[in-house]
Amino acid sequence: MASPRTITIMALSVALGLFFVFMGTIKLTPRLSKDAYTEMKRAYKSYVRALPLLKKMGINSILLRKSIGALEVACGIVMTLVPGRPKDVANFFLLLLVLAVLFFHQLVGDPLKRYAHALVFGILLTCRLLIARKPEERPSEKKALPESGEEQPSLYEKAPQGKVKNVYTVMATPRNTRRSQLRSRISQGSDSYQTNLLAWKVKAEPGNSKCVLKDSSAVEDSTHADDQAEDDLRIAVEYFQRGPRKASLNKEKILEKRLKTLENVAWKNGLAPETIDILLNVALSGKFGNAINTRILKCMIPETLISEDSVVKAVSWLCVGKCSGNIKVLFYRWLVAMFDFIDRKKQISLLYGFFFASLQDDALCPYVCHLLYLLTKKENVKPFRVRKLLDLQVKMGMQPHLQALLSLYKFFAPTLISVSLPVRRKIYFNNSKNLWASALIAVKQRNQGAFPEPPKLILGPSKGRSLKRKWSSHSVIPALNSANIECRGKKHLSDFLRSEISLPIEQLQSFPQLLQNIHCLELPSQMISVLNSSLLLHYINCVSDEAILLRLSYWLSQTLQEECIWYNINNYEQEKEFTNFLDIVIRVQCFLQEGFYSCEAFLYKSLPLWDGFSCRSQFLQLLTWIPFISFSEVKPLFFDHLAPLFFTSTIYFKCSVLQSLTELLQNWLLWLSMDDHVQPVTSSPLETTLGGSMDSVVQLIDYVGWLSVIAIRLESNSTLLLHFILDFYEKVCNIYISYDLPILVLFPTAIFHSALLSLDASILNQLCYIIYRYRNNLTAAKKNNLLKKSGFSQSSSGFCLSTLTRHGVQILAEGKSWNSLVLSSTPRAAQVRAAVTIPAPPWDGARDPCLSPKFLNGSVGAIGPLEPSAMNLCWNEIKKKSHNLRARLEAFSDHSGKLQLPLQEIIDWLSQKDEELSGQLPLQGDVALVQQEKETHAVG
Amino acid sequence: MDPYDSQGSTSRRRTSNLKDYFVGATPLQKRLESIRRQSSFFPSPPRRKIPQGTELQEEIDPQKVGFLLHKQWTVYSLTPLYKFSYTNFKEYSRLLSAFIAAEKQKGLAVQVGEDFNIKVIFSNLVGVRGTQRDPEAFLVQILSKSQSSREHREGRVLWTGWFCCVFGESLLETVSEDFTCLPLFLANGAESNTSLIGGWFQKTFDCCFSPLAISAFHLSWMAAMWTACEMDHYMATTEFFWSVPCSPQSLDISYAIHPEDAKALWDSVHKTPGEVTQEEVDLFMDCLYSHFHRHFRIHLSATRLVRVSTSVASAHTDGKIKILCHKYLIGVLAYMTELAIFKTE
Repeated sequence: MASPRTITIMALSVALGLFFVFMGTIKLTPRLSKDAYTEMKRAYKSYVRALPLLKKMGINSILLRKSIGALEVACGIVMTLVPGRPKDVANFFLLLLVLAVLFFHQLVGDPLKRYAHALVFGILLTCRLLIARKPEERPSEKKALPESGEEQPSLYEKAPQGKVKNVYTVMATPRNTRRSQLRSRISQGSDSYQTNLLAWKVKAEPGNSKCVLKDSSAVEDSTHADDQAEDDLRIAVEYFQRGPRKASLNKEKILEKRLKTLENVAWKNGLAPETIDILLNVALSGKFGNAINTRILKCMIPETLISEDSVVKAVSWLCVGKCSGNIKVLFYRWLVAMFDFIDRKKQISLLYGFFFASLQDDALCPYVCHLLYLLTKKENVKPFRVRKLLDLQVKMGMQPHLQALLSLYKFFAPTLISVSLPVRRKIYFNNSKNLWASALIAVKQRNQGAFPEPPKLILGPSKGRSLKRKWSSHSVIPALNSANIECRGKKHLSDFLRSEISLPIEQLQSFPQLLQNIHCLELPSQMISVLNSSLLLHYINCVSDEAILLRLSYWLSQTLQEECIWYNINNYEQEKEFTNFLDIVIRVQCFLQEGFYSCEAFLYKSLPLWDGFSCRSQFLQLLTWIPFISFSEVKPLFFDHLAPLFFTSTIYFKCSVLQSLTELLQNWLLWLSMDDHVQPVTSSPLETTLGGSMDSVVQLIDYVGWLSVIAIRLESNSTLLLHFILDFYEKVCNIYISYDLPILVLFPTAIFHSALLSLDASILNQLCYIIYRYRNNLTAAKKNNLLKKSGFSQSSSGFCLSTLTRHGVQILAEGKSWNSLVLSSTPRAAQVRAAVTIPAPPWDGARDPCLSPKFLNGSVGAIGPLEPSAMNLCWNEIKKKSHNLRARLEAFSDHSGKLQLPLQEIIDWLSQKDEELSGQLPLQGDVALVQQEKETHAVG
Repeated sequence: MDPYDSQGSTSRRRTSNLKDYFVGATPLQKRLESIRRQSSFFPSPPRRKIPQGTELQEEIDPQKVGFLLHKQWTVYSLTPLYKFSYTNFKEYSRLLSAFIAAEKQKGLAVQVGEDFNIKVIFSNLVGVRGTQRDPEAFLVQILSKSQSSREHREGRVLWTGWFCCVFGESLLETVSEDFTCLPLFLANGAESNTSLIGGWFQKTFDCCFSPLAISAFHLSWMAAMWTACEMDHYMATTEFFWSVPCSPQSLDISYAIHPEDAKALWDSVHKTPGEVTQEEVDLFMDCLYSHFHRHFRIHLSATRLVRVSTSVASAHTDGKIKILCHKYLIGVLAYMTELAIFKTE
């Protein structure tokens, strides 16, 4: 305790104090020495006389003497008796006083012997002041020293941890450069950057630091402030590192100041790993009191990361037993909160056993549990640990933190332990992070994804099923739980190999992770749970294991059947659940771009019983994902049941059915075109199969055509319905080009006519687009057909095209006649041209079957020749309509040039066809042929 | 006449090739094939064999069979078990007992293999199957260990359940090797226990239970088939229950016949030896209806058949079944298996 220095200070203080008390008393009262008192009186009178200024201020000799005397007595007493800082103040005042008195002596010209004592005591006072102030001067001396790594041994010999400090100063230099880099990143491009960097560089050099720094700091105030903060921090760290000095006169104040500095910096910017390393050592070594250690620990906020070594060192302090229970608790809390910011965890994992042993401590237990929860890996779960935990559970009862740890153990070793968590509980650990909540957010922002957060298991109530539901109701898709291989059948060698490295499903959180572990994924115990996990769906998408798909399909078909609401009459809530379930299934199917087999089977089974109302949209969406099969096979199972519903329902139902059929067609076409490329083209059976599948598609298109013709008739040419029908044909007309399949099916004449004569411009637009696409497809098909004529003589593509072209030409010719009718300036001319172009009997234009009034009136029964008067009436009507059409078209094309191009092309093409057809013979008087033509163009 | 149908004849000829495209690949596709086949005609085959005592039955352990008889079982259908193994029964019973113990004391962890006050026994039911190709049936029992009487190793039976498949092989050609197909599950005990254990099975073997309700149609089939069985002596009367759904309370009609009279009626209806046909079943039931109508002026055909009980077995529409006759155990199970398979397919 008593160093020579402190003894000196004490002796000096007492001696000086007593002396000044004595001197003061002499000045105040004559009781001690009358001679001396009168001498004083005389001397002070002469002082005042010598200083006229004092007199002017109204201070006489008595006042001056008495006040100086009183001051001397007071300061003397303080110096003798009062410890700490007041002593220094008293010293200072006395020094001033002595100087003043010396000044007075000099003023009146006293000889040296009269003021020699004052001179001596003044020197003594100065010495004492210097000695007492030494500890404060020391750091500032250090500051003046450049950071050169060379240290003065005299300064550090006494310090208990000189070595560590040495390390620190060396480390501080890279830190500076790092900081400067950091800042340079922030202030890129500004010229302050240059000076800034320069300043830092210069500062790093030994020697001429001060002056240069001054220059630049005039420019950069903030830099200076930063420097200041950094220096303060460094001082503070060193201060703590050195440990407490009991004898210091002003210890508390300095300590307080250092702590403040530390806290400010820590909460503002965080601490560098090295600083944390040092301070953790300080806090856990128990050099300071509990309160200070607590404060230090609380401000251990990393700037970005915490190095693993420092944590390991800190843990080693725990073993020494120098720190109290509270500090230990706080340390564990800190460790849990900062767990994510520790750069590596390998060595910490090696300390698992130590942490596990600390579970014994009741106070520490919750926090250690949390830490273990974060640390535990599969290899840590050992039977003896399980037993230990169970013993603890017996001792402490059902503690949430223990439960959480136990359930994690169960997750890793289901064959050793079994536990079921209560459903209601959500929080298992006291939040250790709330002490540092705001700081953690700041740190995370600073890190900004520099390193990804490690995957964590989420303990949820999802594990337990809701109690209210019956166990065998299925709509709830089970949560993801990885299967425990151990309890499934015999273990094969491959299982052993796999289980070593396999990744539990619960830990899978990102796509890259999936890619890395795709070979060693532990599949869920209930395969159906993948429906809820988009990541695993990727896996399912590329997996070829039959068992996985079978497991999926077993569950799905059972569930669909069990939950289907029109099987068992149930309440509204269940319907909602079923709808949600179907939605999920549909979403998955869309994701996988293929239908589940069980869904298909479900459709076959349930469609005959469907009322066409419940879960309509879901049901129709399921329909679009029927896998490609032969149409003749699917028709009795499916379409024969759908058709009656279709005809008897509202127009909206019809539209939605048509839409889903469009999507079905698209899916089939996609499937076929993909499949086409996958399979070798040379094998001979393929051609026939391909032909067969083409045929199936054609049949589907025909069937939809048939449906839509009837629907149009039922709904009396509704525009909405037409729109959906034309949507379908937009797909159909483009098959050859888009999907590279030799299919070209033209739409039924009835649809063409009702679209053409529709009063809606958008329908007409759509129709024109379709015709334009047909034309493109036809020409493309023709070109290719010529090329591979030798290969395909009577193959399906040739068949499709050849049979359809004729029909198509006729329709398009009709269309052309209408178009020319519309676009030509006079109806008369149009009539003439129509009569010329159409391969019809050489009758009057009005009698042309294409222009038969049937189309306009929609009267199906009116077959056969009509009266001329009626004909004329009809013709006039047609003319009127065509005028209207033309007006609309022109108006439309005025607004947007969209229609111009396709129409122009059609007209060009038609005029070309015109010439071709005019070369053909007219039908003349062949009655059978005429009849046939009439039937072809008859509606329905 | 629609234009589509007129094309039908040509198209069908051409698409016959497409079938080859799909045939013969994976079990999944085979399964789908069978579904398509199934749904195209009436689900239930129009004729079945009258159950007869098979020679396989001789292997059955009489004690175990006694266990199965005279108990009310709730019937469930079950999808195939994934990676189930008959050699791991010991391990399963350890795990299941730990699981049940953990579930019973919510939140308290238990060690697997610890001594609990319940005991789970998995055991084979040797001989409960139709052909050699059927997977073997197995029994799960949960016993409570009574603390007081240590000398009694056999505790009280809390819950029993068994899984079986009788003549299922012919209907299930499509199961791959990872799966064990035991489509019929019968449980006796508290519903809560059933749900616990069922949950464990679902999680462990990725299967799916669903209660198997027996429709009135199938009940009348059962009535006919079980009446047709030859019995040495009759233990119970043949009894039918109909339910009339009327408010405020539903009305139940019970119709009991002396078993020998029922047999006489059946013999008069029955024509094809050894088989039961749909027409015979309908005729049998119609006879009963008309008889009842003559006496009470009630058309039973307008009501719903909910329960049938004969000397062979009794069945309720809720999916509860009680087997009485040792001789026809396999026969009854075969029909139930068929129903369960039809449900899971």
